[in-house]
Amino acid sequence: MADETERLRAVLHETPPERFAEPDLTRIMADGKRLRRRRRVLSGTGAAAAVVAVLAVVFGTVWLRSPGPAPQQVPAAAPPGTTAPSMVTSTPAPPTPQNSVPAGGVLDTGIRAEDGQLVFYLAKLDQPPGATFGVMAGVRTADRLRPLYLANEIKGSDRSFGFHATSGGMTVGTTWVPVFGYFSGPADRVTTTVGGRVIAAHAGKLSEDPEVLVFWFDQAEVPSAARLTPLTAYTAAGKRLTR
Amino acid sequence: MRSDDEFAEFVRACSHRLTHAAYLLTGDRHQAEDAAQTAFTRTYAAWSRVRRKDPYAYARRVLTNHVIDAWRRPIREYATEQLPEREAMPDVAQAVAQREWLSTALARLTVRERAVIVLRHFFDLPEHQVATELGVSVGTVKSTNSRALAKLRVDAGTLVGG
Repeated sequence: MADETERLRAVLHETPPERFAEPDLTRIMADGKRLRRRRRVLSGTGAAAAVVAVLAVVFGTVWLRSPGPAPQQVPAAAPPGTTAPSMVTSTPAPPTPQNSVPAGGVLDTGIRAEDGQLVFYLAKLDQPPGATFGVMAGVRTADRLRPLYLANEIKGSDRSFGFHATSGGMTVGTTWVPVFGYFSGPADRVTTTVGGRVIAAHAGKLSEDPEVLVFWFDQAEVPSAARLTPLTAYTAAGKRLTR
Repeated sequence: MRSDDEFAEFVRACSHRLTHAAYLLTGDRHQAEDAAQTAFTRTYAAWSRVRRKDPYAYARRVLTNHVIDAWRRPIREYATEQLPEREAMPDVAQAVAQREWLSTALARLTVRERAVIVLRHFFDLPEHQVATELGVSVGTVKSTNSRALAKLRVDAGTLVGG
């Protein structure tokens, strides 16, 4: 067996016939610097809770620059005492208040935040190109919704069949935002596996689009999106929709 | 040496190996080059933190998880317990045939099986490290590796057709 495994290894190490393109170092550094700046903002203790677009090549997440869902009174997304939101991209986009307006219903999570309850809702987007909506993690206080963190597809269609925009697993300001995302399709249930154990997500649909299932995991069970093994979706009848 | 110079040297030193691994993971040259580019970008973003540790391991982990993430969304295949028809592995000396065999054989695997095969047998990582990098248990690595090897026709000590 050892000999045969060695043969497999030899085949795996066989040099491909054509050389691979060299990585574009200039672009790597430029994109890496942008990503680094965003991470700094992300880890800053509430210093800029409102606004950062977090670059991810496959799944994207966008911090809110501008606030609030209420049609007339749009509350600032930044916590008291913070500076006005500022995009950490080189070319900040103009404010788009509509991207934080709930499109449809609001999902209660039962997760307590400092001044309310964590909720999810769909938010319409006018950016980036191609994405028309994202899933917003926000806090419902006594009198308003305070948007915290938006996860949206940045590559391809935001309604193509499958999982999209899995992110979260971090503290925004003082509020823990669990690992969350959405499934586009006739799913009713979502699971993952962490450390060999199957974990069921909390999930709910929003009236805006019954084909969008928003899901999130308990912090204790899935503390980080990096811990997820491939997500699995099931229909209400138990039919498996993904591998 | 300046940090950026160090990083450039790091990319030069390991880009071929990482891109090769990405190619084994994806089966597609362009996807592999994109995945390697992404892994290097994220490694550069974390460079100050990882440069004195093990940047290669960091880039490898980012690469593997990035490829797995990319497979999460649409259905690409359904896992099956049935093994495919066995076909002979070509003689080692036949490089072209070997590549064709490898490409066909790897395409039979699920993305996690592929990841385990690449981490275990291309990067030569021990099972516990594969488990850590994929965020799964050692038992899962063992069973996945076993299933993948069976599909690749390395089965119970006998490379069928070898």
